[in-house]
Amino acid sequence: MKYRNYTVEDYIVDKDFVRWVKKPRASDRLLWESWMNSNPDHRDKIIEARAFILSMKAEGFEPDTSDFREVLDRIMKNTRKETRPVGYHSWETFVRISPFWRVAAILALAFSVSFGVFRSNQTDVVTQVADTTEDLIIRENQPKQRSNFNLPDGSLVWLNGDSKISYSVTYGNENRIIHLEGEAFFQVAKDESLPFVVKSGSIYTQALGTSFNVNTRKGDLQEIALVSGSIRVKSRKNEVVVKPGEKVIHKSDIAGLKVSEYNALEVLGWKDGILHFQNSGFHDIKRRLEQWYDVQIVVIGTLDSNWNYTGTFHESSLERVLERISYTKEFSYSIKNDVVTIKLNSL
Amino acid sequence: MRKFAKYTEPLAYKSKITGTDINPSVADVENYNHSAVGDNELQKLPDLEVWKRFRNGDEAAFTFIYYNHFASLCRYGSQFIRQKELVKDHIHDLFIELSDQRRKLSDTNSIKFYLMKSLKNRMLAAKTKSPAFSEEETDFNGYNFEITFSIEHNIIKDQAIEERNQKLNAAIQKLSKRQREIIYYYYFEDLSLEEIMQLMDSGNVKSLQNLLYRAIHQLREYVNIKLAMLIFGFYLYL
Repeated sequence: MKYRNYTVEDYIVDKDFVRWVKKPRASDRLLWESWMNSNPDHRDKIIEARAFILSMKAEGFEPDTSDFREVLDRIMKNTRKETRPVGYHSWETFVRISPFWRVAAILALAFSVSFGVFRSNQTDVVTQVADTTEDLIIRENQPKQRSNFNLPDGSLVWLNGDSKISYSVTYGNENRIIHLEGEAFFQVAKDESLPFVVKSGSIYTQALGTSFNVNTRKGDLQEIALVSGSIRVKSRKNEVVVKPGEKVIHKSDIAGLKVSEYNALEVLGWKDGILHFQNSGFHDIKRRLEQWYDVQIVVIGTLDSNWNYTGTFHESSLERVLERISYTKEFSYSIKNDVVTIKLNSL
Repeated sequence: MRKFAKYTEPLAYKSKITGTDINPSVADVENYNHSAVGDNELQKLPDLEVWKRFRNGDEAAFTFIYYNHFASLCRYGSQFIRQKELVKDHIHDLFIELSDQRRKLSDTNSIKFYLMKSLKNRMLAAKTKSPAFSEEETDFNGYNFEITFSIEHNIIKDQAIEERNQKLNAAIQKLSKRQREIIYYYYFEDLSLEEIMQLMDSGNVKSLQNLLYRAIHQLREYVNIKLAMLIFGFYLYL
């Protein structure tokens, strides 16, 4: 072995040795441990060399996330400065003349990719539409497709399947207003001067630096769940301030805004491909499965009123989910094309 | 973050990696808020391929590159110019230029090396052009690869270790700039000797190896304290 005559210095400058110390892999560990065991006289040298390397620190500028975002924002803005788009009405002009939006769009894509939220092969659609009043950026996901991207101000968005957000090209400069249909999770970049507002139907949710989930697809109700920070939710008639761990439910203006606690896994799991049911009723599960897998579920038989189910699925197939639920809840099912037939056994 | 746990039933934990269905722990759920990282397509590609995609106009690759290298470029850049804002400006300019010139760029197997090389050239050029840049913002009227010695261990604050660190910190100031530079590349940037050779405009690998060896030898000569095995044994099995 070449290490036979190694001195402490030899170890310190040996590339393989350095790698073991800095970024150990199982195979490296095996090698060095067995080498030490069979050569006890080298043990002290190795310990010495290892301690020497580990005690060395490189000084320098360690950026934080605000540095990271600031420079990225400037890169985006400065590409825009050079060729400011005048009018863009088609995809072609969008691609040809507006490097800023190209960067913005792709950046969004990049974040989706680098954050690993793209589980399907499709790319989500980023379009820019010439509105009559102002230019809007629209981002839309097909059913079953989920994405993750950041907005020009550095805020992060996780967009669920069959959902859509739009915002003005002036977003980040003049306003921070997002229109949402479907479901999205927002992690808002701090900016005291521009409030971050999500408009979903008739509901406005306003935030400073915070993260929250808005779901408009729960049948006839909307649900807004706060993770951190604070938000203010406004309907036509009411207004509430929400604390972390609480959600707001809006069914109708007459019923008002109801605040309650929520199960984080159930409400936020979708971002990570997790489908979680917490004492969920049959209709809730049915609706969520239909949305998640983009299928139609037909039910035969009558339901026990106490029917509820708790379970967690991660990136599971529809068959797998139905298999597991039917195992405990005793029903049979069949899947044909996009239609699932569930036959309840409680007849 | 702790308060998050309150709203989540602790569920039986099965398998995070392999199972098709899992029961994530509370900690997993707590992380939702911040962890957005996962494996992805670009991460699995070799640098050459990522670079190619970027050059072909794939902006996802561009931001991926930024995302992965921004922090290390900040630290590296600050070895040449002390002011953070100037370092950020240079990194900004570098990325703008890369974006503008993408079709003219050559292949690379190491994006990190390519970026470091470009940043170094850019910063040194800026410094020679503008004398205002030089003296104030930098030490040693050139660049300064600053390495320090410390042992981060809370339990043992041994007098001998303190003394050792002080001696090493004094010793490292006596090394040449080039010696500190190679230590920086070798131990903190994980570059190959061939890459270091290019970054340092050195003639051959052998002379670099000698440079490194002499630097380490010199440092150790100043410090005759042997690190007791008792104290550092724990390092091995961390």
